[in-house]
Amino acid sequence: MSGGGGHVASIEAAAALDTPVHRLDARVKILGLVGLAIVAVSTPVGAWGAFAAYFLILGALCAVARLPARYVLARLAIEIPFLAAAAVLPFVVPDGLALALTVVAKAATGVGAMVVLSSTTPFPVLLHGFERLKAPRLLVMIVAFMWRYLHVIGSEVGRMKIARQARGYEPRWIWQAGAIGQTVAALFIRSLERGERVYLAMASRGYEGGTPTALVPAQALRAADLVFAGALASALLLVRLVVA
Amino acid sequence: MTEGLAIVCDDLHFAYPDGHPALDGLSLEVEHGERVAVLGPNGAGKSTLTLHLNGILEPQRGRVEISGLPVTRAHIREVRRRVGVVFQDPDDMLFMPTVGQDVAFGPANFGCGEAEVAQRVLRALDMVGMSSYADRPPHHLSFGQRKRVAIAAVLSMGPEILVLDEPSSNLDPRSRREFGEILAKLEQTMLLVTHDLPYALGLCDRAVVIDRGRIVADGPIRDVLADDALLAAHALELPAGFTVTSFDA
Repeated sequence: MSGGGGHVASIEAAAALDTPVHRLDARVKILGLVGLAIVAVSTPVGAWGAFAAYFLILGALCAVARLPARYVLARLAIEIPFLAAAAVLPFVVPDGLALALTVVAKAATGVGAMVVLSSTTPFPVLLHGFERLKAPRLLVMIVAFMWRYLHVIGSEVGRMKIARQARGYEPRWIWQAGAIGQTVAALFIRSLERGERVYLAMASRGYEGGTPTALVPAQALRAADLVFAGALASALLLVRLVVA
Repeated sequence: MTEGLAIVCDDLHFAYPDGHPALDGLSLEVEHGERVAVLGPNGAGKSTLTLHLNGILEPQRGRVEISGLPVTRAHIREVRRRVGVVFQDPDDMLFMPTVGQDVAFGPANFGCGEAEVAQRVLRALDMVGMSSYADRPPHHLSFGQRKRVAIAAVLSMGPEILVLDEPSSNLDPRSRREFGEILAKLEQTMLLVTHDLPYALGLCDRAVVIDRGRIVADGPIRDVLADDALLAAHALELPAGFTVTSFDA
C-alpha cells in the first residue's frame, strides 16, 4: 500500500527472507542485539578494538542474513543528524576527536543492531517476542496499533494528496506547508474518529482492557537460539574483558 | 413469552448527547434462524440499533433481550459473545498485526485456551476461504479479503446472531457475490443492515424498514420491496429496471 513509504516496504521485504538469522527466536534476537547496544554504549572512549569487534559481529550477522551493504548503510543514515552534534566536539573539548569518533562508533553500533533486528524479524513476530519477554502489554499494544494503522493512515494521506491535486493544487516545495498543516489537522480528526470506531469494534469482540494470554502462546527455544545467545554473550564478555 | 426469540427490542429510546433522537420507540422481534434485512435512509437509526444489540449503547428507555438474556451490564460479556457485529469498514475491525491473531482476538477475550483458540481460528478462516492467510498482515490483503477476514473474526467467537453493517459496500461485483455466498451458507440468525436492496432480497426472507428511530414497515421482503409508495416515502430505491417479480431468489 502506498504512503507508508518505501522504507517500511523495504524493511518488510528484508524481514521476509529465510536465513539462519531470520529463523532465530525473536526473544533471543531482541536480548542479544539490545545487549550489544548496551555493551557498546558502556564501552570507554577510544577502545577502538572493542568497536571493531562490534562492527565485525554486526557485519557477520548482516552477511548471514543476506542484508545488502547498501540497504544497511541507507538505514544507518538515520543517525546523521544526531552526529552533527558530535562533529563540533573536536573544536570545543580537549581530546575531542577521540570523543567524537567514539560517539559515532557507539551510535553506529546501536543503530546497526536495531537494523539487524528489524530487518531479520517480521514485525508481528518482533512484537510477539516483546510480549513473551513480558514487556509492558500497553506499550506493545501501542506499537502494534501504530504499525497497523501506519498503513491505513498512510494511504489516507495519499488519497487526500491526490484529491488536492485533482482540484488543481500543485504547489512546489515550501509552499506545500499550508496544505500539509491542513492535512495534518484533517488527519488528526479522522484518526480520532477511526480510533473510536476501532475501540467499539474491539469492545464488540469482548475487549475489556487486557491482552488475553491465549494470544501469546509460549514457544520453546531451539538449540540454534541457545548457541546464538551463548556465542554472542561470550564474545561480548571477551571483548570487554580483553580490550577495554 | 420472549423465551423462544433470538432478539427482542421493546420500545427502545435513545438520543445522542446533541439531543438528536436516534431511536424513538423502536420495537422488533426476531426468531432464531431468521434473516432480516434492516432498511432505511441515512440517519434513520440503523447503526444506533446495531450498537444496542450488543450493549455498546444502553437504551435510555426500553429493553433489549438476546435469546432471553437481558442486555445489561451484568450480562454484557455473554451478550457480546452471542452477538457478532461485523462493522462496515474492515480496517476498523482488523487491528492486530496478523490475520490469524485478529481472528483469535474474540475467542481469546472470552477465555478460550490456546488450543481451542487455534482451532477456532482455523475453522473460521476456512469458512471464509482465507485459511492460507493466517500469518499475513491485514494491509497486504485486498479490501474484499479484509472484509472476509472481518467476518471470520466474528465467527470465531461462535455467535448465535450476526449483525452485518453494509456488508456489500465498496466491494467489486465479484467480491460482493462471493461475500453473499459466504453469508448464505451461515446458519446464524442474521440482521443485514443495508441500502443494497437486491442484495438483501437475495439473502433475507423478511425486511423491516426503519425511519426516524422507529419501525415503519415489517413483513416478507418481497412484499416490502414491491411497495413502491413505502420505498419512496423512506428514501429507498431499487436499481433502475429492477423489479422484485423478475428476481428469482
